[in-house]
Amino acid sequence: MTDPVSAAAAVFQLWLLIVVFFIVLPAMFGISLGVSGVYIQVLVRILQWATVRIQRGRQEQPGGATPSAGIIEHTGGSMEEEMEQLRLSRRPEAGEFSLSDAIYFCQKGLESIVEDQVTQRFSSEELASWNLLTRTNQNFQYISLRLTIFWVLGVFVRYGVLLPLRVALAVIGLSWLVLGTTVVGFLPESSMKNWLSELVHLTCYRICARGLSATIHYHNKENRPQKGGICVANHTTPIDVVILANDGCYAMVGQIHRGLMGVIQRSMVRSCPHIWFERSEMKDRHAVTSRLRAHVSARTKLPILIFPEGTCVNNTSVLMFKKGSFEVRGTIHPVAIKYDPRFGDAFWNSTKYNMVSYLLRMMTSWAIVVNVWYLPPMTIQAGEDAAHFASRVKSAIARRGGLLDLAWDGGLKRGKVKDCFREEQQKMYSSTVVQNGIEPPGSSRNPPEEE
Amino acid sequence: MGSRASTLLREEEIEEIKKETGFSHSQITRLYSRFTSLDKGENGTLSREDFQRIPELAINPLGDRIINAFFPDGEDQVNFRGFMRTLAHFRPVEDNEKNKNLSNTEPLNSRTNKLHFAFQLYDLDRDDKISRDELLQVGAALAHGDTRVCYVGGGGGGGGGGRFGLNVQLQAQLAGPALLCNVCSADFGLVQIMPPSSGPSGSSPVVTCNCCELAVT
Repeated sequence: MTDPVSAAAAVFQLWLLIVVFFIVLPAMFGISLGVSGVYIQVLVRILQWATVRIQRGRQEQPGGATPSAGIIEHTGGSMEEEMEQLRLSRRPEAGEFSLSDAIYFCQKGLESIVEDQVTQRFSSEELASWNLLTRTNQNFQYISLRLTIFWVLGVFVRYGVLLPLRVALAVIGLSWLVLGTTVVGFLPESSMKNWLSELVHLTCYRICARGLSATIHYHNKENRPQKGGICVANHTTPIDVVILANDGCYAMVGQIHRGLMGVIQRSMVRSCPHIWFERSEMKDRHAVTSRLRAHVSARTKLPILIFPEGTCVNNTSVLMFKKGSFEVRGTIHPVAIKYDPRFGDAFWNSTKYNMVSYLLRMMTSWAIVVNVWYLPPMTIQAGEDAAHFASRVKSAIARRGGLLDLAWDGGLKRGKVKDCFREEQQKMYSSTVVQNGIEPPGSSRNPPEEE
Repeated sequence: MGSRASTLLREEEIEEIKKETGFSHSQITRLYSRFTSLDKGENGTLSREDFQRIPELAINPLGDRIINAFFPDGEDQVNFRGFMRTLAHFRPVEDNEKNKNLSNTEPLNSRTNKLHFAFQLYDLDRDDKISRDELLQVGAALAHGDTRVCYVGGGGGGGGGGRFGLNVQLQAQLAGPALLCNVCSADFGLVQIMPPSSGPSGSSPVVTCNCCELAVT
């Protein structure tokens, strides 16, 4: 006569043992059993089939249309070109403003109301085709029975099978991190301690990566950040840290949090020197820069990991890099990170979701597939200022990762745009009007009369 | 306004908006999702602050005036119907050839209605006339007080082309490049817009060129 509780406990123990032996231990040593590879391939096949099926279903239905059809008919062209077009028939002289000039700004204003380049970066990317997750479903229409069956199966697999597994892995990984770094922290300073601390960090992050079913492809490993350098990358989610730290050890920079994060941060810093700031210190840019500089100049310390955008962006573009970290005069190692949106939306919309619900969403996606490109190191050139250097690095990252390179500030997520940008537009207009006044042809123009 | 149903725009509403504005089904749903994403307060209407949150609009020198165009009659909130009605002015005129609806009312994106919209950008006090002050205000807004930029325009009489001194009171008329009179040569005459309401009912409003008084539509 078996007691149901003890039977359940036995099943649980068995399950835990399987998890530890077949997932945790291989993960710690960087060995893959190939299961996730097969899983991803199966997923790709299913999603491709689903895409074809949805497109076929949409064509059969009347009144259906592609969701991402453009709605603005762009004429394209700079302010100078379009102004010239508008003023062509009016033929004003240099410095003369014509009534129809307002139409250019009116048109641009309406275009930005319908679709602008900035606000869309702070919400999740629209998918070209549904990936069988409820959360990405925008125009749910019943297309076919098979598609619905797959979706139901997907829900069951993700919530019933994958979620408990991933939660268990995350718990194991984080507790191992706290325990391991605390133990290592008791050792005296030596190369042994550094080696052990790197081992602990690496194994923990590998376990956490498995806990998210993350498949990471690293490219150009020869450009991996070296000690004494600064690693900069585009920022999409806090998971970026896990992704990058799977392949090397970094010194983290950030604010000290309270609660669980604070415990993790404090134990991490015992074993290797991370740079944690109090909230008040973060406002003092000078203090931040000097601490970073001190870390970098001791060339034996781990490379610093910084996200210069300052906020999470939705991985379709790279916003302005804050120049603070580029003033430190170290070698910059740029890294481009690009997530594959078909398998799960990695973007953390901090205005919509808090950390816990975000992690739950992560753990109930299909998987996280990410490409990481290490770019060759860059240093500031003579005569270049920090802001220009920052945008040069940003363009390199955007080009490599296939992201849009925008000059807008990530702070626009929460704050207003500065007035100086409006003045820039006005200055551009004035110089266009003053320089591009079109010469009147011959004598057909009446001479100016005084009134 | 009903419950906060961000994805539920009823079919009847879509049909009504389609008839009124001429947008297609997919355009309406797309603009509706844009409307809801701008509506941070989630109450089904947009306020001026919601528009000002768009950075590209905030740096536009005429941004405030464009936002005002969405709020007629001094109201503070605009619902989706009003939003679409204003946007409908900017549909291409050629589209009207494709979907000829048999209603007798003039489509929102007719040439005259477009001009009326542009006219209202200048005419802040809504008295159907652009005064010299309003003209210069727009010039200052565009050029941020750069004194190298000035306004040169025609007087009330035919021929035009003269400069007028700053101390002359003047009621300016809106000149649109699309409505050049083919007869007048280089120094074109200024075109007077008759407000749609004053035209004879049933026929489209007439636009005349001052210099040669030929009807130009």
